[in-house]
Amino acid sequence: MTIPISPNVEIKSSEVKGLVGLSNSSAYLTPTTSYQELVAAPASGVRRVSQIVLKNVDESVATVFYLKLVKSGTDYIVVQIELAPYEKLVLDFPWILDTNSSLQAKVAATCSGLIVASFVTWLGGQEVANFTGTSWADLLTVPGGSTYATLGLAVANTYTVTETVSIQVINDSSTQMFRDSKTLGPGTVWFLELNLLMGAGWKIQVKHGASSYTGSALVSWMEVP
Amino acid sequence: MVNALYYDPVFFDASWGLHHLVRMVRNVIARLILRIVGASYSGRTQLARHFTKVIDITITPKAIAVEAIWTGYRSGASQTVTINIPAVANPYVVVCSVMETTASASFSATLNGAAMTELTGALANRAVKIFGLIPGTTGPQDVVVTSGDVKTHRVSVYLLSGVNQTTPTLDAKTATSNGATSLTTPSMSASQLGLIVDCASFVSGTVSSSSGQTETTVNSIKHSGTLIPPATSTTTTWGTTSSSAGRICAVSLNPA
Repeated sequence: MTIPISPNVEIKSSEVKGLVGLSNSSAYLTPTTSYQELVAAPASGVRRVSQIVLKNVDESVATVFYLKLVKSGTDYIVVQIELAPYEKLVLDFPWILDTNSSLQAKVAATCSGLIVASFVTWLGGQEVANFTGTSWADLLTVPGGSTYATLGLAVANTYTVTETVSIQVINDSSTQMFRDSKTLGPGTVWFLELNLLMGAGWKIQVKHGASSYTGSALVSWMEVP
Repeated sequence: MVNALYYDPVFFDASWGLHHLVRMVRNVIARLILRIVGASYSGRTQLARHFTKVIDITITPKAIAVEAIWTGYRSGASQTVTINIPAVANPYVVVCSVMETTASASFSATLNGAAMTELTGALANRAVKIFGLIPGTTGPQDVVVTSGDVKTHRVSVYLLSGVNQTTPTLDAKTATSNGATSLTTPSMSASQLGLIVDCASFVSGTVSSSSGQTETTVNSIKHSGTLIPPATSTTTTWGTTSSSAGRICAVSLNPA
């Protein structure tokens, strides 16, 4: 069965699981101190990773778990969290992996760790940007004739000191439609489930709070009628 | 029913399922009633959106960061360094102070009028001390270091974030010599997610660190430094090109 989901895209019945937040695949990784692929890039189409679980099952070692998105050889959104023995992090966030994108993970010190990522073949996409300074940088521009629904937004402060990062949505007339900001410490990642419908020509932009300061951002989206 | 799914593409939970089960049953009943009375039924074309699992979170690494550094240099019995503390997570202020002589016992420091804790230091062989305090407020404020003697005085002030607010320090050590080209602290307990701040002074020669510290220079002389501990037991070393009396002090800071 094929379900019309948009004038421009179709989704197969097996992919309906993704629409209701379910996944039909899980990737399991025993992390080491070197980055390994957690969820590989699909050969075609896109994958939606809905949930990632980082679990320290070691009895005595507390260590830092790292998770990052790699797109075309460049790192975006590096998540770092220290987990004490038996602690875990469950991150419900919609990552969209295209044929050039993968999720990788590692630990800082050898320990008994488990990482699980659940995903499904899906639709839509994900835009990424590493940005610098206080000028607005385009993260996503909705192409002509399309309407996008954003699913999630992540912004990281990759600079060495605490600073405020900002996001804004502007329409095709450059009128600000939405704006938000948050003060982030070094290496801190801000995950925001931002569900906005955006018309053709609309943009999501990001900027830092000080010149020369660096950040990283991604937004996942799907096209809707 | 399935066509309606595309307006709820993101996340669903139990309340969503129950809500729509009730609506589905209600619609089936409506269909039957409408069929009985001969009216046509066009069906639902869209559902209300539900944002029941909104994520707005931050994930912060466990680490201590150097947010800002201020320095001061003067000859006098006291010195004031005006700093401006922004809002950062788990702040801590460290003051490294060197007098180019032994100093009186009144060698002390305040932050915004509050006495700072002496973390390590001594007065023999070049007075070097490190003070620390959790700032009570943000914004402009003064660090005042009082040495009691009118001598050349160098101060560096570090604003750190990510410091454990209950137990800010893990360890502190000092080493001194009447004549040496290098001084190394005894081993300190450290967290590899923490930070070591150290401070050194020698009577003569060109001074530099040799443990990989990021150095801070005050009036052309390397004076203090920071180091991410490479191990849970760590030493730091400073040296000079001319053997002379000197002192090195270091404090190991505990991450939040």
